[in-house]
Amino acid sequence: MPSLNPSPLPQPIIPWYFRLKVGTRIGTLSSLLNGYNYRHVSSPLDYEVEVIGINANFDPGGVFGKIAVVQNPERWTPFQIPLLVLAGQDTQRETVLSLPEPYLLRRGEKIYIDLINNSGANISNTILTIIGRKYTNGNACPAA
Amino acid sequence: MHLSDYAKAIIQQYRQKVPILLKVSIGFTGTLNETPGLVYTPEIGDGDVLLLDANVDFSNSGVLVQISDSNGYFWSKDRVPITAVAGIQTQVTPCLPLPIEYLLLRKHTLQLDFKNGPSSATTGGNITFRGIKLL
Repeated sequence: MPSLNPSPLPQPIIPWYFRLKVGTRIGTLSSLLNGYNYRHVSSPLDYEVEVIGINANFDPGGVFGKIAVVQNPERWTPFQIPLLVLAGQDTQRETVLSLPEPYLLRRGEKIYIDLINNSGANISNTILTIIGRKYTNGNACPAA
Repeated sequence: MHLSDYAKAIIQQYRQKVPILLKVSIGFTGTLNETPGLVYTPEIGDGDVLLLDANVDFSNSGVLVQISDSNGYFWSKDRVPITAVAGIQTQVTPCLPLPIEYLLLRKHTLQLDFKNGPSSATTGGNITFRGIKLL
């Protein structure tokens, strides 16, 4: 039976991808040098985003990390954890590894990432992509 | 296929739904770091399309892409690795779901801005979006 519901369409929610080149800049690429510790902070967001997962375009084995919102750095990972439990990669079933629970990043908040490469080798062209849903009018929508 | 409450709220506004697959040829020539120029999804004139997931027919984690809608919505500020956006054939699920289903309105297109890998280059390449055409 066709729907005759006169309700308007919901406010648009946009797929959101945030690129973070992590490591030492060598030319246009970034590399995680073996034994080095890196800290990165994103620019403050000017909109609300519900973060749902993270992807790495490199093998995260041997890399340890910590990720949080700057306002509360202990909130998600009190200690360094293997990056492979934070970020998926294309050789895995979950290319974008979902967070245990989506997290709503508010306007003005910044993402903080702390990484250390203990893999025994340098890793080149290292990009983390944080994936989420951007609310165009700041109206929250139930997570799927 | 599991749909979010958001997608279900959109779908119920339409009378009919039909599967649709939108393929875009990227046009890489096998050159490192090349930017082959903007490419677009086909324009659908007779209905809106709810995009669900995406696949690419190559495997190269160095390829980057930035996607935007002719509405002016950009999905990212910069180009991001294609592995975060689309699935590949060697994966268990070769079509990677979008973080949220995306409504592409009638006659609107997605604009895709690709960059080839810095250490290994792809030749050709296609990206395919799967979705539901809503009438």
